[in-house]
Amino acid sequence: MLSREKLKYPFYCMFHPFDGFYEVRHREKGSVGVALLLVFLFGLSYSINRRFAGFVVNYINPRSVDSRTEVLGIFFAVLLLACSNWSITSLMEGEGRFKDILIVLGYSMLPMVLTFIPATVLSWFIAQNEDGLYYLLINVSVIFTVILAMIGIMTIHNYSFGKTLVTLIFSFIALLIIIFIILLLLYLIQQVYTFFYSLYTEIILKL
Amino acid sequence: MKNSRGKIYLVSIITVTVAILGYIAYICVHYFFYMEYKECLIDYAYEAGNEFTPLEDKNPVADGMVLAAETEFLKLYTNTKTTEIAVYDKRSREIVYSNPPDRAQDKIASARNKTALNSQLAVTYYDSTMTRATMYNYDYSVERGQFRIESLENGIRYIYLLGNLESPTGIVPPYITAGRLEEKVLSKLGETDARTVRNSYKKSETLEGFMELTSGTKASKVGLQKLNKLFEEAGYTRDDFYYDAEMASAGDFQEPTTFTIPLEYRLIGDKLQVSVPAGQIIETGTGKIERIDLLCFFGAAGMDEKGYILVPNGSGSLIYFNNGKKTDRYMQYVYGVDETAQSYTVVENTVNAMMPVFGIKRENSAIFAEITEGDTLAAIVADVSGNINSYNYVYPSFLLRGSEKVSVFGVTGVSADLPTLEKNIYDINYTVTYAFLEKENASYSGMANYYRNDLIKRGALSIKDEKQDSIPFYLDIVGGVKLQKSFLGVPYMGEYPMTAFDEAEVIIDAFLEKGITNLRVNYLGWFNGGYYHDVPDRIKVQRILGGKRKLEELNRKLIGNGASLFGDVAFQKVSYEAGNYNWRLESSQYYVGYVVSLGRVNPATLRQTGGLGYHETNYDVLSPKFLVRHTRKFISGIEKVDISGISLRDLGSTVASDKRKSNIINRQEAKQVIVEQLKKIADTKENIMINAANAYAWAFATDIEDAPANHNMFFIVDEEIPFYQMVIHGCIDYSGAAVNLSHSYDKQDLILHLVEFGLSPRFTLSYRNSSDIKYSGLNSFYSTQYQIWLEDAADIYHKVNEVMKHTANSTIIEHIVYGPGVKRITYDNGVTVYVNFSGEDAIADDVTVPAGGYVLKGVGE
Repeated sequence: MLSREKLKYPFYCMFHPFDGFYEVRHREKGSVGVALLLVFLFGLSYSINRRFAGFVVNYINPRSVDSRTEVLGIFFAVLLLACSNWSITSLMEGEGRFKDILIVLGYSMLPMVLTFIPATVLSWFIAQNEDGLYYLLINVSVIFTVILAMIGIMTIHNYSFGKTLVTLIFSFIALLIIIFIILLLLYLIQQVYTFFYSLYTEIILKL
Repeated sequence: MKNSRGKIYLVSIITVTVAILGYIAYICVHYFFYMEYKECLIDYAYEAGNEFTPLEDKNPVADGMVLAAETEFLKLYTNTKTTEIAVYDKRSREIVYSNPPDRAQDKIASARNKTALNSQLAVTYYDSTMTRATMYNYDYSVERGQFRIESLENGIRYIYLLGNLESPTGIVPPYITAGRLEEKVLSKLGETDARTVRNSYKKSETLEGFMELTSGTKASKVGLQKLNKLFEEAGYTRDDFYYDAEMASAGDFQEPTTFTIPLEYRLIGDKLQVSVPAGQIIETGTGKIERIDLLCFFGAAGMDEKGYILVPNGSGSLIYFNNGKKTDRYMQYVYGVDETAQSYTVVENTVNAMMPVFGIKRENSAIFAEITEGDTLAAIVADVSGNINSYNYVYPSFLLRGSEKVSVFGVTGVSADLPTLEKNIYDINYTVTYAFLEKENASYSGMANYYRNDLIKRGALSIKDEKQDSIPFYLDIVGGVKLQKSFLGVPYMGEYPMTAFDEAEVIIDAFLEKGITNLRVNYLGWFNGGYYHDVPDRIKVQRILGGKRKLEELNRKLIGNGASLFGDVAFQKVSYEAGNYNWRLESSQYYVGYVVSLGRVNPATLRQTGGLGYHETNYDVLSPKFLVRHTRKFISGIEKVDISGISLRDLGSTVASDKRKSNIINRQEAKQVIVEQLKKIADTKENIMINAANAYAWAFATDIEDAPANHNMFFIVDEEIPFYQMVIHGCIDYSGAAVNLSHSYDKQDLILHLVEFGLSPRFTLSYRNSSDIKYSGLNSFYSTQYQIWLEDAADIYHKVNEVMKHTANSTIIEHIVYGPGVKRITYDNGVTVYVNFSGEDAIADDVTVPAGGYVLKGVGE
């Protein structure tokens, strides 16, 4: 069971990112469970936002929204980010462990979790000219999250700001490479499958 | 402790194995070994032939021909040299030839087309390299003398051997072993002859152990001729020749491609029956027959003749002789193209040919042909003079073997289309009957009358026994519709009640109040989850519409008012959303094992494989093999529901074969299965409504919706006629497409069209607004709210009923086109209707027909 303290800790991190993430790394204050819970909540609120946001700000066909795939997609994206970052930072003297990276990513999503649903509700009451209000809420939370994640990565790896930026750029490249390899693998599997299938068809036809 | 754990493992392994084996056994019994459909198939007999002797002819009428058979009405002549035939009609004294008698004078036909003009059969086949080629029976059989003639009861049979049997040396083998030469030839000849043969052979230098024909003999024509004669005398046959050739070539020798095809002519009363019993066709060599064009020029009309060709194009159309439209011939598959053979790309939106008939009308006579066997595999082809020859002609082209292009990926990853053929020829007795009409009946009206009377005689159609004093009004009610809903952001298919059963009562009350009592209500989506319903092997009346009790209440109310209720059901096109369906095993398959699955035509890509965003509109085609089970279960389910009729959405219009490799069911067999199912379903309920019914389904229908209300405007056709309607009017009540969903809406034009074709008005309506289902597969029902249409529907109905109530129980005996848009329809009770589609008043038979109006004559006078 998650302790009350651990559940409250993301809020502390939100307003004291340097101290908060430092203690995550060195005093085991964080929890992977809570981080994943936050990722899940973000996925949910993101999906709810897409499905239910008012038409003034929403350009998505609600019939095409499927929460299952969206939540899974967010999980996949976080995992991918964590993996690529870990693979780079472990080569560049980063001190953070994989679980720290996960926790940082999860905890820094808290601002988005907190604002997406209120923003969705707000979008039902605004007119075209007032959509600035809605976008302000959304954008502030997104920027907040990015800043939190940056600070978090910097803190747990014990990096300078410059080095953080460099590792992030490398992480991004690593991310592309991972995606590329996955696609390559899928393509190969498909090729093998079609080969065997056409072998089968030809046998069937010649019989 | 250890022991008991071992036991648990053992028990669980055994249970799992038994479960798996049980499941496999179930699949096998339920699907692979399920052969109930075979009971529906019909066999045919092959009559043994006798030696042909011409009959004695008291007054011969055909030059160079002998009498082969005679009946009360007809005489069948044949020329035993050219194998052409002629039919003499004793009533009209007209003679019809299988090949135009003046064909030698044809100035347009090229040499090859001259051969075609001389032929009775054109065989399209695939050779060893899978290239398509055509062989005519004239040059490949008749000219070579490779045919036999046999006598049948009331007819004759020609057995043609098509193919090039000639080798440079005739039947004299270029190589033969000494032993066989002695055994087969020398021992059976006299001393001098044997010496001649022996001298023509020498020991071969190239093939050890063989004798070789000397080069001197090979070069001498006279010598070879003599040798051939001697070999023949010795009883050496062509088969022996092939045997020796094969021995000498050590297996490299290929037998030449030949086809042995029997063609039978019989006189049956006033009809000529022509058939090709395909089970008797023999193929040798590598050639594989694909299709046979039968009697292409039977009754063909020359360039100086006047008349027309009748083709079953939608409602029916006429092609006038010599109309000069040379660019494209008419060709349409009977009952549309087989779903299993259809292209994924649909380039034109056409109405099917729903009747297996065609005809030729000449100055003083007419021929009306009906394909009675093999109709589902036939295409009807017609062309006018000037294109490849100077004749106007129409003929059936029969498919004998299915073929398919299979996309195969090579090692390089580039795909190639590999043509594949089915192994066996379809064993069908392909039969066409030609009826000969006398001068007063020589018209399309005469053909329609002849066809109707013939069908009535055969029990395939019957005159309505109930007399009605008003025409029916067809009302389709949209019930349950599948609609995407979402739960916690997870989408799922829900159902939306467009019209609940008690709301339907409101609609019906509204129509009754308007004085429309002869209602035929077709309830769409009343069971198993809405319009795109689960397979009908059990029946659950939609709860959201009010359930079974409310449905039966509605049924009683309608019957009480003299109306009837139909429950709409689809059997063969099974929606992707349908439950209880094993699509992998129960659907028709292509040759390689892909499932036949189609959908709506995408207007941008023209492909019919998608659902345009609504996958419930995608469907798999149910194999005829499992149709039997589905209908059996449906019947046992529907018997428990008190509803007066069943409406068959696709059973009367779709015929799809199943090409699954282990169990091919051809289209003709599929039709036999379907007819058997129609028979069973027709026995369960009083009223049967069939959508777009093909001719074979007429026997079982009391009502038809979607009767073809127009023809396809192919370039070659000249006149649209309501041939389909002329045959069934007075026998079956029918309507066309729904008025409120048709693409144009000109009320007067519509009423005229209904009056001309004898169509009852039809509307597709709902209680709620169509916009509620705009995001569903039924968004094609874009304007169905009943209040919008009530006034118009009543108005149209009463205007049409005013005219057609006088003719509701009569048959159409004549339809005449006076000029552009001016027509006269005569019924057998003496009522005559004139319609004028044109923008100006017209005078016909001293009757002035107002522009865009109609005149009714012969009522109560």
